[in-house]
Amino acid sequence: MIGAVVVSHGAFATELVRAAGIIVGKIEGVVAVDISADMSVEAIHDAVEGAVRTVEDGDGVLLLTDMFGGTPSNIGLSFLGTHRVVVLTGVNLPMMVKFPMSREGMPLDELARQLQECGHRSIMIPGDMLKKKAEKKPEK
Amino acid sequence: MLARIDCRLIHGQVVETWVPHTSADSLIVANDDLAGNPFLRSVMELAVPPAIRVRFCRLDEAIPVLAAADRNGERSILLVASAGDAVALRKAGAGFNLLNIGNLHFAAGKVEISPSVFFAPEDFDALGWLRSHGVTVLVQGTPFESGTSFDAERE
Repeated sequence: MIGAVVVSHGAFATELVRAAGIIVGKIEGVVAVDISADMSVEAIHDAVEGAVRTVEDGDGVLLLTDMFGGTPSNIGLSFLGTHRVVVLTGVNLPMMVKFPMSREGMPLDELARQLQECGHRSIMIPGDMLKKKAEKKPEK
Repeated sequence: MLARIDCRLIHGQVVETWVPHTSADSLIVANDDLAGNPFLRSVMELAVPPAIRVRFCRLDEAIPVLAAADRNGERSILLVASAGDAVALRKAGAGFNLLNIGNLHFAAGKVEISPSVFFAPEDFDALGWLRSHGVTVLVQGTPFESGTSFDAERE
């Protein structure tokens, strides 16, 4: 089973996993790593490495980070050469919810691409969609 | 057909877990408030993938709607907002034998059954009536939780 490590500034990672759990139930094989301002790079690296080891069971690990260019993401990228991981940045709740629903029987790279697509598609302005719908099909 | 009591009707749990779990291709929402509110209906419909057919109807219109879905060979999930509504549909002839309770929000005087399900005294009566009419009632937020029969919870 593909594992996931969610790494973020502050407690976003822990709360994101918790929020997704409310929607799809407890997610197996996920560890959150919350990074606080006082942590050294080494401490962050060790925390992420420990988390990867916890969830790795042979199918690889997704490193879901909060923001491209941020420390969680930069440190996540340092595992690319040494561990079987894919780093996916800008994680949001729709991606977190989709993760346990999509990972069955899917290779790591393909899962990462699907979640990327899901994250992109999930950002919208529903008010505009409603307006378009109303123009197309006036309410009977 | 899966029948579900969920005070939030169509939301993340339903779309993300029950629809794929049951391979449903249609959602039938029997709810008088929503049936009379086109705006809320379109908002709720936005979050449903286009491949899933969504129908909203009043409780007293639900039986022909269910029959039409059945004739089309649709795999439906029937959603109602309360135990009382489930009883009304069963009395009118809705043919569900398994009823899933996902969310019934907290209010003063209600009993906690699960973190997301709280029963008022009339809910116990309504669900008792359903059980005595051959309906298996399970408290189950998502398909991955093992369902709890409310009878055991009562004791």
